Amino acid sequence: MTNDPRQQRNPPSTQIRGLPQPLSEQPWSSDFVMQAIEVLPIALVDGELVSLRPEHAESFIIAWPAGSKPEEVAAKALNGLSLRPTVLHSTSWRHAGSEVVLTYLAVVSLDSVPESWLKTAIERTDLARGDTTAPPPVIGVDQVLEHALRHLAWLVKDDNEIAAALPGWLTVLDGYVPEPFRSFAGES
Amino acid sequence: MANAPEPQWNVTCQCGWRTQGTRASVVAAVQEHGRTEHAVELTPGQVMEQATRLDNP
Repeated sequence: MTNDPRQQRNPPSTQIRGLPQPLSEQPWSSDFVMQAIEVLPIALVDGELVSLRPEHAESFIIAWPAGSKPEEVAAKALNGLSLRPTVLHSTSWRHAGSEVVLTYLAVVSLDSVPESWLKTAIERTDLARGDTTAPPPVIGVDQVLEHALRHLAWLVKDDNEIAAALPGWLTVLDGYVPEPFRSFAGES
Repeated sequence: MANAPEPQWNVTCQCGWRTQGTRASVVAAVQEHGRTEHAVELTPGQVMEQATRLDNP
């Protein structure tokens, strides 16, 4: 295991002693379209961006109970993971499989990341692009994250509260082309 | 008169793995997941503590 927290791969999931309390409570049926929430936690380590993700999924997706406020569902899930977001902001949505997934970017610290989660240095990637009337045929989580960071780059310039909450991030996000909320309406 | 559909359940694990389906299928899937991925043996009751039913009885 490397000492570099940006490249650190945490111990295997046998570190999980048991299943936690439900991270969200959502009735489910194969007869209707599910809505789900994806949380992409990121952190700043030594001036570089690091993403966090669960060991057994490309990203952390939880159910979104009908009638619930999505930001509260996302915050509750993060709380269940002992992650305390400095910023929690929705950045895009997409249709993935049988679900409509609303993505939240969460800026967190590395103080209490679940042992089994992976920390990876964020690399730039091209955005998924569709044509003028159709969504991209494939959308990768790395592309969702790329867009989320472009959205954050826009926010730190446009939103005074977020700018104040993220001192130093303007420089880190300088290479990201600011871009507001958009939809990824295709399958992924 | 058609039988009522069997209740459906949803469980999300901290590791990101998810499963959805009937009680029996969810219990089996979560037990297998816990056993193979986390070295944890779970009773059906422990599994269902993590699950939420489709309807609100």
